[in-house]
Amino acid sequence: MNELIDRRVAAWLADGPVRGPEDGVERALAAVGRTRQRPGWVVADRWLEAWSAGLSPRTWRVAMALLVLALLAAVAIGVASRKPSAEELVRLSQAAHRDPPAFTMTTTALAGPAGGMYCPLTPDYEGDPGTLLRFVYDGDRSFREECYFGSQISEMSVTDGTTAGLWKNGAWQETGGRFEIVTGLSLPAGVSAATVGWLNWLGVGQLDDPPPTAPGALTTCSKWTLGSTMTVAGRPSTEVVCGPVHYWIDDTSRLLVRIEVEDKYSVEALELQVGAEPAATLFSVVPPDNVRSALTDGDTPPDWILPLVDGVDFAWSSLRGRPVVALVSTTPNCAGAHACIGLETFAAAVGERTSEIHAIAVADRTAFSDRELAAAAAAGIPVVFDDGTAATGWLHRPGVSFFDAAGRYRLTVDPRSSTSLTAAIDAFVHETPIPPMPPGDGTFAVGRPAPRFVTETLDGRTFDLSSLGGKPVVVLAPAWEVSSDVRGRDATRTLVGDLASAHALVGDRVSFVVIAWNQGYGSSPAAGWAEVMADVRAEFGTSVDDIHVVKGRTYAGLDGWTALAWIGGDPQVWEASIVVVNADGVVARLLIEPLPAPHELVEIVAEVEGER
Amino acid sequence: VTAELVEQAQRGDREAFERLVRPAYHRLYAVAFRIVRDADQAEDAIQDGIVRCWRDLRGLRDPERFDAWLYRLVVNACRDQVRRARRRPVEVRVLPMDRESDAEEFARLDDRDELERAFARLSIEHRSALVLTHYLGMSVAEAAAVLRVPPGTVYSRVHYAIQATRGLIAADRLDGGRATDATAEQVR
Repeated sequence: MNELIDRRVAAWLADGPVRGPEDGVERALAAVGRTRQRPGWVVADRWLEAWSAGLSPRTWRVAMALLVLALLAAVAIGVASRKPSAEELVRLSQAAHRDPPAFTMTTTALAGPAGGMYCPLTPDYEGDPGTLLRFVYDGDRSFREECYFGSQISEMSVTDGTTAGLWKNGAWQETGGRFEIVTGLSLPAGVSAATVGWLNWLGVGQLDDPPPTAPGALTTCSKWTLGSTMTVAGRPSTEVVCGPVHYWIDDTSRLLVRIEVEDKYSVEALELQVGAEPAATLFSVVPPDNVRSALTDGDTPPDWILPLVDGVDFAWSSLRGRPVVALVSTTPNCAGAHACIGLETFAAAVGERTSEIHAIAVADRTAFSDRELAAAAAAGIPVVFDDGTAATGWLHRPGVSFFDAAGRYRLTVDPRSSTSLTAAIDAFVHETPIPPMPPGDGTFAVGRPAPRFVTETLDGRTFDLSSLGGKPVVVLAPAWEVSSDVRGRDATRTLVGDLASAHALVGDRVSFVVIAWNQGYGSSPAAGWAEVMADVRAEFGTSVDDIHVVKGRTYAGLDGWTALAWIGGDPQVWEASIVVVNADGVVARLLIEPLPAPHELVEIVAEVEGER
Repeated sequence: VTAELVEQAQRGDREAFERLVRPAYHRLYAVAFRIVRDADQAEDAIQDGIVRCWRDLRGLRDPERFDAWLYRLVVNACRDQVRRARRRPVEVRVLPMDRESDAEEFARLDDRDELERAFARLSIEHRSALVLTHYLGMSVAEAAAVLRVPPGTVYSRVHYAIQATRGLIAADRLDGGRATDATAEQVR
């Protein structure tokens, strides 16, 4: 019977594509062209290659254990010879505890015919409801993963917080991750879906990477997700995930375990320092009253040191004697994420007032373009980069924050035009109330006329949104760039495909616009967008040709605002969005992911038509 | 020649690397596609694999083992792709048939469909083992070198993957072909 299945599987596997896309290799090589080679010694394969060939599993495990011991001994010697200073530790803002407790972290891994992700198949899987996956840390620098059937146990090192240059061991490769334990971060409230939602809203997490010891040390995460629940050290805990980093947090918000699962095959030195135990109330995941990052009027923010554009360290404490106006873009992808005022606009508004105020911009490296950085330099505005170690987490809110001459925080506003910003600065300098910030002319807001939006189509023709008046307009803003490589294309194809489906259902009585963002990350976004549209056209026919695909970077009349600040007028907009403008040119709906299916979109448009 | 090119590429010669990778691209694509069962994911996986190959090439001790190493990187990239893909919603489009098919053709389609469904429910480790042995025709020892697991593990993965495929097809038939996504996810 198995032979028959063998043959069927082999025949079925043989009957499939034998060639990839003809230009695929070019894209791959282009990606290679953007990649630097790493030194050989940091590559795990260099050390593991010889081990895996020709050794029995038992010998292999013994050899790995010896390697781990040798590495730990080497690290211990290295640590003994170099003890970091207290100042250095504080500056690095990193912590781990000297003696993490032994623990067992247990979850149920699925067994059955194909086993689980971790546990291999077992001979007696039939009828077995599941197998048990257990992570065991015995408090002595060793870690093992046990499957219920015990057929796969791997050893690995665990960071214990006492060493600098500790090896992350390649043995974890079998389960795809690196492992480290961090205990003692006391976070005063529970983790819940609402909390994670709040973290997402904030875009700046309260859980650091690695965890902070110094005030203000926060991490930046573009999206937190809630994962599984497990028992760690006898305590129920919840998994919270930020990209490749998984945190397990107990029901008092104590951070128990942190596992990073990216780049699992590398062997890298981990800089982990011993720091003072943080105060129990220092970090919070509960918004907003007791959150340290939510500075309130009169708070003195913690100091930090971050590199300027030219790499020179800049200290927040150097801004003294005058009020401070800080432009903050804390998200890693400002143009596609939170509302972010353009640095050029900011520079224009504050550049001539440097005798009255200090001005500073704080952002992730990707938040500002070269042109914006040049404008800041010309205006004498320091721009510091916060790459996620985030000493500036307390400036969590994208916008413009004001501090008085004594360094006390006053407020953060979200001006949507240079006029509003100038008015706010004037009021602050003259100690009069800062006027409310009206939505900018370039903002799509429900119930307001659609903004003037003039840009180009992908093929260079001028596009004016107002020219589509007289019938509803559906504007799709995918919120990300489609480069000429393959990233992002799947999701975009789906979105644009849905739009084409909706278009096919409603015909010409509705206009459709897709904003093709160019955020400056990819090698050729225009080509990437063109490829996506060609793909969609192949699937949906000529209806795609009736959809306006316009450039999202070269818009005019928007007063320097970037990307989704224009679309949403809402700092929560950082996902793909759809705006429905009615036939009178008034914004009727602002839809944020999850976006409606084609037939739902058609119903929404019909509702909008019926509201006239 | 390959070893020579590998050594040149290890010294940073991108042209040599291109000469190594370009001829292998479609072969790698065929493998990746069969593991991930999705054209876009396969392309992404290969790109990831090739980039990692260039990045870590200096860590390869034995240039003669380049091919096996490259396969391993692509298989690993496939695994990453599949894990990422689990978080994405899947949309199934029903396409109209433009002509009637005869019974034999339906039978063939049904047969393929059974295998497709069963294969999709295997873990990525088991898919990889099957593709290396049943598609590329590697020996257990060769597949073990690629997957960097003991030969016995490859043997057991293949053995149980075949058993599982058989069992899943049988279960599918009993279920009238209405296997649920939840079931598929569980088996992974």
